[in-house]
Amino acid sequence: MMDKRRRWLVVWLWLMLLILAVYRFEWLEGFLKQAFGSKQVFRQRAALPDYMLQHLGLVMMSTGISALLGLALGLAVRFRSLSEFREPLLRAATFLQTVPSAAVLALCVPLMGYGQTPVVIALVFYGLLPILRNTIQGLDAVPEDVSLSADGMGMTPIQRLLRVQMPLAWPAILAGIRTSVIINISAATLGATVGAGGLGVLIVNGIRSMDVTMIIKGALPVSLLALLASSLFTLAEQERFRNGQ
Amino acid sequence: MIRAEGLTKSYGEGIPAVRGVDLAVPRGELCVLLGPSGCGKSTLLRLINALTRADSGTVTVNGRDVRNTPPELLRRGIGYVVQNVGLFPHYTVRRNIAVVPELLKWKKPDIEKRAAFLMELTGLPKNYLDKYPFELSGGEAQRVGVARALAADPPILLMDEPFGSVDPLNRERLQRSFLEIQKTLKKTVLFVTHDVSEALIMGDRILLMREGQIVRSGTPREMVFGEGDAFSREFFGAEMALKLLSRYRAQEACARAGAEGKPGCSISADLPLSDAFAMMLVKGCDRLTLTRDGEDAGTLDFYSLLRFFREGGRNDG
Repeated sequence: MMDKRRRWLVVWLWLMLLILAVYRFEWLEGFLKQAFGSKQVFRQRAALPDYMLQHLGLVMMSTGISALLGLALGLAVRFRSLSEFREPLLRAATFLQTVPSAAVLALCVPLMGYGQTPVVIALVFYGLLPILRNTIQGLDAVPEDVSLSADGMGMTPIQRLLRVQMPLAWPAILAGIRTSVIINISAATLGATVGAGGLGVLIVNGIRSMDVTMIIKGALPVSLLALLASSLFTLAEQERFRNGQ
Repeated sequence: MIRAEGLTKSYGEGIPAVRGVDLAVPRGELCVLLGPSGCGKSTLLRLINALTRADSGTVTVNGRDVRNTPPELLRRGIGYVVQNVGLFPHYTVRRNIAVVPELLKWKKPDIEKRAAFLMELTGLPKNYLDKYPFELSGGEAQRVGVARALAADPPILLMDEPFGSVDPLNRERLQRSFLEIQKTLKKTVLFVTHDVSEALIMGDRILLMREGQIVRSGTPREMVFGEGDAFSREFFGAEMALKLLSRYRAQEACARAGAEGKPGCSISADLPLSDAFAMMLVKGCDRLTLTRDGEDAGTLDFYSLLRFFREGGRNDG
């Protein structure tokens, strides 16, 4: 019980700090300007909360697609007829993650133009590997005799999957989604370079004009967003049973 | 009942795992499939509940051809226990037991009643229903495994080395407690093991398997007193007679009333006859006083033991 309450406390802490960093940045701004000076080369076109919502939208959209895709592919390669695609698929996903996201964007933009689409696609590729890998490994880790029992007791293959294998693999899959979300929260800052908006706009403009205050204005909410997401996933992880015998 | 004719199954090249097996287990019999590892006994078991499909041959379970029955429906009517129990780690004991009744769409109160009954039957405390498998010892998990297989009261049980992964002491307890259960429930059981003593203790009948074929069959007594070929003699071993002793209780060979054993030469009447014989050897006495609940319950002497063993117990042929 105590532990549960502590996890909630952490969630609230990051949430409060995030709200402060987005809606009350001026409290910090004066101090930062004194310390680093302010150039104000770029005019900030949108309010900080709008950038954050754009950012959040990019992350949720891309992770959602990654999760659906990763789960679907991870389940598909369990069919005997598709099992030969398993290793190539994992290798492809690993490869996609090693390509610098800037390069993915550079490749996407000529095809799809500026805006959110290329960014979402890049982020989907980026977040796919952890989810796909953990889905495959999580399902593999379900003990053989547990699956055999499910069959032996007369579950249909669908019932076996939904009632036994997926619940047992879920902690691993959730861990994959968590990694993917956290990667994408930071990777989404690149969206600024192709006009997708998000908190990256402040960071990129800040770097161009050597405006430390502006960089921090964008970077601080990104970090806090990642911490908040991480704490939310910790909340969802329940140690209700131990996997295995 | 279970009937198989001309069953053959091979995995790829080489000698088939099961070849040309005929088998009939009458209603209420506990039939043991005994053999060294890799002899095809587990495969044979899986052919019965269609976890594996035969290359040729037929299986009928309760008069229905297995090939013409949807496998899921077939399996819901057959209890199945595997070696490492395979309890679902994310379910409580209660939900583990409820799996097949739920698949069969039993009503909640019926399932609850059945679960309570099975806990009593398998000798587990009722509050264990709310435990998770990781909170159970190996022996307790095996009991839950048996309870789960019995959940929907199937007429047939398939047990694949069900007590193979527990220590010898617990294994013996589980064997005895299962025999007690079997005495009341009279299921048709096909029981796979590689353990000769287990086969001699548990089986109404033993089928000895080798390289995918049944090479010998008979009651435990026939196995011990019959001739058998070289493989059979080697597999059972010369000391199998001693193992057969543990099939009986000291009480069953009791010669007469009265306590004639020397001081120190007494043993509980409910212990296996093998224990009584061991005590005679160790203490060097040919008469034992049998005791029950601290009272004297008769005398067992060496010659009555011999006669009993040669002529056969009362509870089998």
